[in-house]
Amino acid sequence: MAKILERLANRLDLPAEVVAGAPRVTLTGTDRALVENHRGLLAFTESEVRVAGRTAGVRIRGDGLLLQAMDGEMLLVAGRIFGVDLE
Amino acid sequence: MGVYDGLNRLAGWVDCRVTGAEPAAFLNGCAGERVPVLGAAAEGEYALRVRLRARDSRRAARLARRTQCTLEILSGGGTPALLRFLRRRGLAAAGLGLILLLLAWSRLFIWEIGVTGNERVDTGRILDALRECGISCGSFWPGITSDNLRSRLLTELPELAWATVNVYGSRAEVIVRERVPKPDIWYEKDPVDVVAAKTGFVTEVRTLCGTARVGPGSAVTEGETLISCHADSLWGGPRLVHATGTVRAETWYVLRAAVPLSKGVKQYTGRESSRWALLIGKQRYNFYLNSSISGGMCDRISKVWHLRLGGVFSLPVALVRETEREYAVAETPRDQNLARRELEELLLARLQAALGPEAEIRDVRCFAAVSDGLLSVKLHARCSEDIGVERPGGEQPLQ
Repeated sequence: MAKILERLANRLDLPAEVVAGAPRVTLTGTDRALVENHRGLLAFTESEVRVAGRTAGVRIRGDGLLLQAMDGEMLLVAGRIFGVDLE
Repeated sequence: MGVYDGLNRLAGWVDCRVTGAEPAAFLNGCAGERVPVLGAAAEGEYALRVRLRARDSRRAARLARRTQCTLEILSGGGTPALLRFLRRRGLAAAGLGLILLLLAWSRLFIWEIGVTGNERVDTGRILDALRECGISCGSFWPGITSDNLRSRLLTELPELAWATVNVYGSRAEVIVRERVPKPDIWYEKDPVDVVAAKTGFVTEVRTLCGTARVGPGSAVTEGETLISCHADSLWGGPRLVHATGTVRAETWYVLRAAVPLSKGVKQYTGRESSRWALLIGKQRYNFYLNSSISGGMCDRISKVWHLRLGGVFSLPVALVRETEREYAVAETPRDQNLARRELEELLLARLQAALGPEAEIRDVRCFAAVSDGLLSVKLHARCSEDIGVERPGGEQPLQ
């Protein structure tokens, strides 16, 4: 259902994070990543943070990763970020 | 520290360790129950260090149990923790309040004065003038107005062009700007003579305006007129002008310098004594009776530690340590050749400082002599330079 809503949102030029609740990742430089619309943490270590999303999972790779803030809507990861993968 | 960090500190926080098979589940639980996580760091695979708001600690403990984790509170801080501490210790609270009151009161007085921006005027003179104007250690700074102080200080020290006082806590920073001396200003059409600045033998005269009074081969003495401001005019007779031109002449210099053939070298004997004193405001309390080294010569080194709190509060308390190191002066012979070279270099530097930028040194000879334990060096130099300088003229009537 989420995938269908995402495709529909893309067809209609509507923001998928609003319509389908797709995760939105905002990277600031190489040391801060903001993940919105998350569905919880799957794993959290110093080198990897895995976040569940409604349409896709997000994996943040890095070194010395910290969770600077987290609530029901968003989470903010800080540290040396090497890459962000979608799962 | 950001705004949110500051607010969280004000509201109080706790640092906890969450241990379990899946500590990330605890964070998810917090997010689901709307318990904000202020920070989290992984401590291995099965532990997390989490910072939460102090008021959420009970809910967090329940969440930890629900997610099969154990929560251990490590430390806490912020205003609630401070208030709890103060409630438990009433005396400490009173003491802290008194200290804060004293610190706030001490900030109303000046305990340190710094002077910047002065190059020619001595700092001691400025501090003396400030004292005359009512600013010294212990002055009540809210009563000082910068404008009033500036006008009084500039009256006391006419060498200053501008001054201001900035007060940071208990430290007064006095910034001054010195007056630039007014140069000699001559009106272009005023009559001016070119006169000899030095005694010499004229080799070349170039007159641009005025009448040359000397020619190549003339011997001139200091102050003699070289180019006069009286100029002939084809139609109107003689008139007064601003004489200009260059007069090059050969000049002679004789410079002397002497140095003793033995020099005293300071040798520390190893005797050293330290003594301490406490400065409170303007009062000095010595922690010694008479512990100075008597007899021999000694260096005295003073070190002062001012009592400051975090660079914000400067208190009128300072600890002083005076160290005296005794020494004896041993006479050692000086290398004569080296001393002669040093004196020659010194005299040459003095000669070059006395000459203008376009001057040329034609010949230099140095003579050395030793008498009464002194090495004397005499420098004879023959130079070629422009010896003309401008002086107001026109005192003599036109002919």
